[in-house]
Amino acid sequence: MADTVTRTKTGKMSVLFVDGDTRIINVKNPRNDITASEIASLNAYMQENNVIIGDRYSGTFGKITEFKVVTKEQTKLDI
Amino acid sequence: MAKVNLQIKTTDVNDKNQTTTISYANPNASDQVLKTFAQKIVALSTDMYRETNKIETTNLDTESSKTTATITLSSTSITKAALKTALSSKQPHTVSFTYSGDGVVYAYAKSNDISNFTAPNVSLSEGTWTLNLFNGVASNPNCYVACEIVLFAPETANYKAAQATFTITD
Repeated sequence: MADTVTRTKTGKMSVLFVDGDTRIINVKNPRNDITASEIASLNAYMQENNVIIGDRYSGTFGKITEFKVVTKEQTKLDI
Repeated sequence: MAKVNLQIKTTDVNDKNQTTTISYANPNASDQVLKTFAQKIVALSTDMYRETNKIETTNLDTESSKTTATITLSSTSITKAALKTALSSKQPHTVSFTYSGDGVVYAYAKSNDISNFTAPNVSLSEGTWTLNLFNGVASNPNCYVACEIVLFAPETANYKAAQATFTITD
């Protein structure tokens, strides 16, 4: 058998809370065509409803600071 | 405060079941808000949404003794026009507020357009505070936007978190 190469993609959404706390929310299998306006819309919804809070001091949600897609390649050797 | 985790179940394009957990959801958010949030997260992916489970955990040893804290504002809103009038004399518009807990209060503006108000994540001193809105920037039209300013005190060892909102309306 030949070596097996697998690639996985994960969306990394960095968020900031008003008390300075930060967190990264992982989005499995992100679409290739995610737009900035979609992230802005999600940000507005999260602000409007304070959907998540900081885990240090329960700080109010501040904003999404970054969204990036990370691709990981893994090679399983045929041994 | 109860810890709330969201367990989002999806199916990927290979028909495999996937689970994503988002921790520290707001315990005070409604189930519908949390479900909509979960669906919005899934909409960013190629997965198919199946269901969301809300999992609450409460530490009875640390939570039961905490006292509810409050932040009270002297006024909760002002119109853009009234604010502009008030600032036309170059005087700051002030909002007093008191906090009943023993922590620190932060002020945060929910708009990038009003950075002149006060930087997000600014901690305010203890006691009774005066919030100066747009002091000295009355000539900047970009400051007159509808927005919310959130005053927030994180939970402490003795008090639960507290929050109050001041709104600048159209």
